[in-house]
Amino acid sequence: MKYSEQDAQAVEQTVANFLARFQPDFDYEPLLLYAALPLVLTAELLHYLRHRFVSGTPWVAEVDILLAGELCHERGYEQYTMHSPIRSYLLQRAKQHPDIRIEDAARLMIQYLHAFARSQPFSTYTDMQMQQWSALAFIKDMQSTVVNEIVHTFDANLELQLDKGEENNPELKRLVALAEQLAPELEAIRKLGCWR
Amino acid sequence: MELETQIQACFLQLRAEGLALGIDELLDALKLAYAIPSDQLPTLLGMLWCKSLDDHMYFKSAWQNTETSPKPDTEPTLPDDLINPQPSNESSELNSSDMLPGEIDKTEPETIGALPLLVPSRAMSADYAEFKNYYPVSRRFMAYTWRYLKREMPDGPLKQIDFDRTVEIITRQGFYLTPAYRRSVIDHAHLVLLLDHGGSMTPFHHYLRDLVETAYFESTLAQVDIYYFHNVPETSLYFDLYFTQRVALTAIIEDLDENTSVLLVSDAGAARHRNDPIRIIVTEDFLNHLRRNTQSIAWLNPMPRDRWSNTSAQEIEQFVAMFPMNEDGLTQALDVLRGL
Repeated sequence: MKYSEQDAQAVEQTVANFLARFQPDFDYEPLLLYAALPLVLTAELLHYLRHRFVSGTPWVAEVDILLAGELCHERGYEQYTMHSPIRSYLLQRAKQHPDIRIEDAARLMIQYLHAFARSQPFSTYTDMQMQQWSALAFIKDMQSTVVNEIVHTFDANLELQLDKGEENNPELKRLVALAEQLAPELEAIRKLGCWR
Repeated sequence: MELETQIQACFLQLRAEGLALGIDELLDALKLAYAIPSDQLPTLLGMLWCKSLDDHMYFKSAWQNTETSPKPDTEPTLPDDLINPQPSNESSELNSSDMLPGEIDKTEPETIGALPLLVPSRAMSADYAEFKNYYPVSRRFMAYTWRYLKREMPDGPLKQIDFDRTVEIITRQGFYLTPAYRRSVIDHAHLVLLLDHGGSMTPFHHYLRDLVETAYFESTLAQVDIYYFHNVPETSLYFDLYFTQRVALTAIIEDLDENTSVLLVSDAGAARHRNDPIRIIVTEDFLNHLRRNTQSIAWLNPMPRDRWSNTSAQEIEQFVAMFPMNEDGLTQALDVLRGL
């Protein structure tokens, strides 16, 4: 998804304004950069990331980030999603930030998701799969696997749609939206014209 | 691969994935293997062992892996070092302290002989011990603190032997006739938890769950009632956190007496930095209603005290004893509930 320069400036300003609310007492930026990694944020996951990577940040930062309407919106019960332009911008900043270990965070998120899936059997498979792909996209060795799995799932759903004669398969829409989100990290996805 | 061996291998793989399977499930599966045609076995094993779609997914993958000629696996697979990284894995920059507590010990493959007889618990706390200290007040501290709310009175049935008095009577009379009894001690503590749920309280749901679970299951309080509301407690509250079972405020108030302690938990607008005059008025009115029946009322605000200024919380603090969510705050709130 392409954003105009004006949009990019607005996003940068939004993030700067949010961070300025808590400065100079607290610097929320490192936690905010880690919070951009998961596609779906929960209070527990954000707490986990803070605890592991930026434990010096006060716990109330978790609440401030989740409840900041300009950054996140409530997606479902106890689930938040960061606005897509904000997330893209923060991920770009995370890559430039020397202290942000985004690949380590992605690896840790995989462990978290795996343990979470075992302990919460009622969470949906598609949600878990989406979270897993978004984390794997930041691990260099796994990027080709993610692309293959997304393409494979896309093909399977496309076939299903053709078989059933459906016009709007929500699963396909979900996959396209996901691929757009992950495109900055996955070069192979960007090369596939079907995602545009 | 022999059918029995395949079932055992599949069983061990599923246990490694964390499925709650014990020896009983394995024995049932082996009995099933001799009773039905082998082509129907995977379906029935799935029904026997799996309780969710994810379980079925894991089962399908494990069964295919244990077959002699495995079919191509279409499910997403991950290298084992990503899921269960070993401490010696140098490719990862994470050190051993970064691993999940439940996964560190899995260095040796599990064998049938090592299996417990009972189905293991699937509680999340097993893997996430650190979440027990989710916020500045721990679950353990909550469970411990509820004890102070006890209101024990010796007004139970006259059935406990009073040894001191019995000995005194024997000494006075010079012979033993019958033991002296005293009334048993009964706890009259009644705790009413009124919890703000959803909206700006969503990040605190974990804390609310801990409060509810420790008060309800881990305390010895005689009666614990829990009601939920959203933002402001108005004319009706709810029994459940999904707001489907309504209960009238009048019914709740009628149930309050001098032994009842009411603990409200809400950010009172502090989390989103809101100052809403209507919220303040409605809350004051609500508190006045409560005070007709009990004076033991306290308020826990999950936001730190310095974040209450210029919000509704700052105003509401004038009408009720409000404390922040930390160990000191909980202790002080319970002191207020005890009338100290």
